[in-house]
Amino acid sequence: MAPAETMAGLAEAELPKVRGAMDRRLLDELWRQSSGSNWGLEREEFDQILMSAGAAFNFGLESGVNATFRQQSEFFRVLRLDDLVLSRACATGNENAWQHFIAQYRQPLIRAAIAITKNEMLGRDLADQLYAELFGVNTREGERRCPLLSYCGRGSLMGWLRTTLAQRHVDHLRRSRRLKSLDEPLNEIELPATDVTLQTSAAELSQLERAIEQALLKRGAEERFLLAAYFLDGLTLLQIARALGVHEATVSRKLRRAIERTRKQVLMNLERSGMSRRAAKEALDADPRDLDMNLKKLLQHSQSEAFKEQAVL
Amino acid sequence: MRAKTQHETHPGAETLSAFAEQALSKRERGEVLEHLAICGRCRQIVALAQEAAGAEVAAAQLEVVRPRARWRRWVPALAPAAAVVATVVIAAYVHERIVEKDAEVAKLDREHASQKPPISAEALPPAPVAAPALRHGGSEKKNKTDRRESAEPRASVAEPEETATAPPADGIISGMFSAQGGPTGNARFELRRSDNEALVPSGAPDNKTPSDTALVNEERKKRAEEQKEDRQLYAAIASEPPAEPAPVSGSGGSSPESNAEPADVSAQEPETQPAPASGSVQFHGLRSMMGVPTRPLVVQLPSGRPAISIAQGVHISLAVDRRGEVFLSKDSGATWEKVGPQWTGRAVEVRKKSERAGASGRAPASEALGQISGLGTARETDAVFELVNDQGQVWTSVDGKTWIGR
Repeated sequence: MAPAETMAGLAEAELPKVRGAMDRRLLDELWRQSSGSNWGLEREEFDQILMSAGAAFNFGLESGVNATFRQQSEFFRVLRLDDLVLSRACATGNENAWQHFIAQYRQPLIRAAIAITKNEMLGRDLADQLYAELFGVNTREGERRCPLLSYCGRGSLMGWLRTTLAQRHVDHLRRSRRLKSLDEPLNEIELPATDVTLQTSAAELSQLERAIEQALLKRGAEERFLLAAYFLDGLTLLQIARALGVHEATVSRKLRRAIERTRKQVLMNLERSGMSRRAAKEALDADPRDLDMNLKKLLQHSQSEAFKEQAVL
Repeated sequence: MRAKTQHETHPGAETLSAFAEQALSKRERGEVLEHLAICGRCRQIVALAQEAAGAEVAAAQLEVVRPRARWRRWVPALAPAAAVVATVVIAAYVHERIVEKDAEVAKLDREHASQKPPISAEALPPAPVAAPALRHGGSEKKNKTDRRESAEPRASVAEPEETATAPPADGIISGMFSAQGGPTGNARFELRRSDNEALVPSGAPDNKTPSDTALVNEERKKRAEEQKEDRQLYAAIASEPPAEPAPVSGSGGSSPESNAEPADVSAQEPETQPAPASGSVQFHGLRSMMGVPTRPLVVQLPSGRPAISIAQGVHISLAVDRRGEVFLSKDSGATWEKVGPQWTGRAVEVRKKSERAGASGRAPASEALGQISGLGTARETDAVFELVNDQGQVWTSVDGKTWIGR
């Protein structure tokens, strides 16, 4: 039966009678589309895999919302079913699945690790470490733990592998930074400007700090992400563009707009605090080193709730 | 599911990967973006993962290109093979053309021999010229063939010129002679650039159509008159004592045509170089005698008439035109000045007589080569020039300006 016909008989807002129940015909169709039988998966196992994936993300809906059959269908149809069944087959120790995984992902995994670490030796070490984990070397309470079990098919398996490698690498760097020896030379600390005549008065600086803080807090998530990625992380426009999946020129344009809007907002805030337009502009020329504020903290302050998804690993 | 610890508040690898791959719903994407705006760690993870994806794409593109690169490895090996094949093809083509042309030349020779009126033996210069005459009979026909072929778009332009200037295979001296006009008068080549034909035999009988017969007869009459005049010159030159040089001295004047267009003639005698009836004479120096192509020296006299005799020393050159006017050049033929007549009759020849060479005026071949090629020695500065009039009388001069009767 065609997918359209499958869903045609269902009311758009029809909810499953039992919470978590899924459309059997849809599952049949997805089973046929997947290559689960090639890796020795049973139909029941496949259904379980899909159910767990849907439950992990609540079918892409907010938590607490009960997904309709249609919403379930939309969620399942964008899953990478082939990657999903392969990963689960590998996690369960299917030899054919592992051979296929090695043939398809072993070398790309090494290349990705080298690209992430920018060092061949470190990259190979990182890839080997993850590979060992994927193979199930780690155990918890006597049970083999395979990270592939956390993969739900929302993105490509290769993308998941790359992101996992990047996670490991970043976490490793952050840990080693905390363990950095005090004997190592510290970076030179830039001292504030000493020219008294050019310094803005303390009152004006205080006003400026507040104006900037309010302006940044009013920026949207995307603009704050752009500002933080560009000015705090030092990422290039291309790197930001890749992360957002847009063109480099789009990032440049959006970044410029974010800067202009922030500047206008700061000026507006200064004028609201009683400064003239000219004085506000002069205040913006103050030496940034005179400001007693942490832009990093300001940018990373979120108005919304913290990210709700729990990291599985 | 709520996160309890700071680590658990980060989105998982799958969410970040799906975010970068645009696989999330709008609501989920907004949440991830909100988190990325405040989380440097996750921004760094996404950036690194996408950087690795870019590297992977580049590697994949490299693999796609690799098959072509493998094919290109054969190019260095194929290039010599292609060159060899091309050489063989060109050689075969040239050989085929030569064979065809030889066949045509032989055919035209036979036709020409049947049409051409016999030339009296008295008018012919001595033996050395006979062979070149025959040779040029062939070349002339060959050039005629080329002329006929020039109407076709693929007609070769360079080949006739090569035929005229290339040294023959039967030796250096004969090579010099071969390019010079023979007493038959048919061995002279006219340079015709305008019609894309390098050299055209001027005296060769044309394959005229019946409608052109009257025109051809008039031309033949004119040529006959010119031939008569030229034979007188030959007779004068042939009357020189045997000790005198110029074994082919009269050959240049034997041309039946008084055409002002330049001709291509190879120098053959170092001391006295009888020029053909054309106004353009090419000297071939040592290099041409050794079979190496050289740049020809072209003589353009101020009178506009062709030079019939040329003598070249180290510093000066002398030339006589068809009317007997003598010209002197001090810059190897670049400019010429007329020499006032200090002799009786009409000058028909100038030649150089070396003091060391004695009365014969004939220098050794090596010295002559040096003179022609501009490699003259100090002794050659002592050269004396001789001028011969139409009655066989001789005048001598050292500087080419002052002539004393002998």
